[in-house]
Amino acid sequence: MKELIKLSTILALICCGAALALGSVHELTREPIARQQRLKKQRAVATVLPGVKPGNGTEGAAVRLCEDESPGSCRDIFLLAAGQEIRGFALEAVADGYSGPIDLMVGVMPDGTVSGVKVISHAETPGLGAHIIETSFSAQFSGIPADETTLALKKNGGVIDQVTGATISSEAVVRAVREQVRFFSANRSRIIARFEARKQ
Amino acid sequence: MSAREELVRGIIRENPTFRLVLGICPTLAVTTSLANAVGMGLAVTFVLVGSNVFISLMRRVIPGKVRIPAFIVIISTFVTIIDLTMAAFVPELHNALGIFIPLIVVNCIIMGRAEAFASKSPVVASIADALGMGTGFTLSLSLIGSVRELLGSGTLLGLSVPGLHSMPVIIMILPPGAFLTMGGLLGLFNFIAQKRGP
Amino acid sequence: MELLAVFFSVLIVNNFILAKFLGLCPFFGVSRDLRSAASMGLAVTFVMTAASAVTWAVNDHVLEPCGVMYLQTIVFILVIATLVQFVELVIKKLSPMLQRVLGIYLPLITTNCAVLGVCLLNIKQNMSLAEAVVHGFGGGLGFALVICIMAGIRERLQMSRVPLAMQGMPISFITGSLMALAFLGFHGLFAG
Repeated sequence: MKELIKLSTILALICCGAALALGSVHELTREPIARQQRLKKQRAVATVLPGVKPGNGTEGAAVRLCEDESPGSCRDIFLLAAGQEIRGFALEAVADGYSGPIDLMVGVMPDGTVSGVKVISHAETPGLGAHIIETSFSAQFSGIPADETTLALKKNGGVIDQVTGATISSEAVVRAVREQVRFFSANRSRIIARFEARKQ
Repeated sequence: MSAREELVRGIIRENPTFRLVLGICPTLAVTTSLANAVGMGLAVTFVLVGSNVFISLMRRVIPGKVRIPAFIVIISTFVTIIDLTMAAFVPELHNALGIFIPLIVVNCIIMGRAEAFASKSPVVASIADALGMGTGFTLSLSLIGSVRELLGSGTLLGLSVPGLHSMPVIIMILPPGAFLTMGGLLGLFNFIAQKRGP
Repeated sequence: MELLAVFFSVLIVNNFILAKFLGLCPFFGVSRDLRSAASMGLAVTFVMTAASAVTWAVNDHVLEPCGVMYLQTIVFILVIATLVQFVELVIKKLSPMLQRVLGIYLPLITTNCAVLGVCLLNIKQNMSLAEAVVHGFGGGLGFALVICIMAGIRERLQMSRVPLAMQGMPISFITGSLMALAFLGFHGLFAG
């Protein structure tokens, strides 16, 4: 019995020491980690809404809008405005990729045209699906009007060239972009109203 | 054995990757590029040194019966520290290494050294052992990473290598290439060791 | 149906050994003969399934509500180690037959990166409890499948003339490379 108490106490002490160390490191790194996440998003927003540099007074607010009650229908939407003029919106999306979720940022102009797409992170196969992260793929989305037939892979009648040998990854991105455009068109007035309300 | 001998031992004669064949999972998984390989090597070295130091310091205090759980707690504490630190300061590397950072905790090298060495040796020797093994591991990973990146993407550290860049052998950065590189290098080092004699 | 997709996908397409590089130490260490390979595969499947369920529950009921996600690594590995000890005790008491078959392999499984790996992946990919369990089960079976194939090949290799430098580990790695190449053919199945 005495030995059991001794063993448990020593283990407990070690665990306390570990908890203390981890708690402190967590506190120290919490802000830097959060800052990295923010920076990543800001950079993505800047990429998909070209012509607007973050930090010159036009980086926008962000609202969270839910289309309906179902989970997964909520989006984080960023607004970029210069003074009173709305320059564009950036929507965060998650696509169902081949090897896991693909985090995207989709930029839309006020009229619904796609202004740009950026793949923020993915787990696709290196050398194949991983090419979706390159500008040569994502740049194709800039300027495409918001209609279903154009916003598709070439093999499906649209204008997007897929990544060679990575149909599934490419298709996942296209589908996600289409979905964001649809979401935006359907909820445009609500989105703008939300931002107006935030201004007050 | 002097501290210097401990150090060198971990790099060549008892190289964890090519002689002891330990810690294979991260070795094959993160060596798609030299940068990732070095990053992982350094992270593992950090955990090795940290855990060896503490386990060695506490070697008379930790009772034999509970040493495995104690080692696990100490090792995973250091793994979490390096995990959080990398997420805060080198987010791209952190993202590239993915789940293999927390998996450092089950890397047989670390537990192996703790059990076989640090728990029985003074602090300075343990540090030397950890540095030696860690350096050996980093060098091995760098070798594999260089081969795979050069042949598989035609780049090194992200910079294109003329000649190789135009005909990348993609299979090298995919799983079969990992196994192939490892098998080839293992055979090569075995051959060298055999030539040297017993 | 989605559960079936998860199952088959992790069994052969995203095989833990040949595609995800998890569970490699026992893959090369315990695959010398078919019998031990099968025993190891069985033990790993069992632990992976149980661990997936238990760690998911711990994450859902303890780690998330308390906001201490950064303790995931340390808590999960301790849970797995405890679970394995517990399973060992239970098997010893309940089934001497199972004890004979699986006994020596169970302690080795604690440091098998496939077990901790699948538990972490379940959380990272936001799986539900059902998906996590299927993921663990399928992953374990995939591990078992591949380790048995490897054992079969290695048994034959013993009768082949392998160059001295390549004997043992090197030729096993080359074998693994060819297996991984074959499994690459499953790329694209059950996706999308």
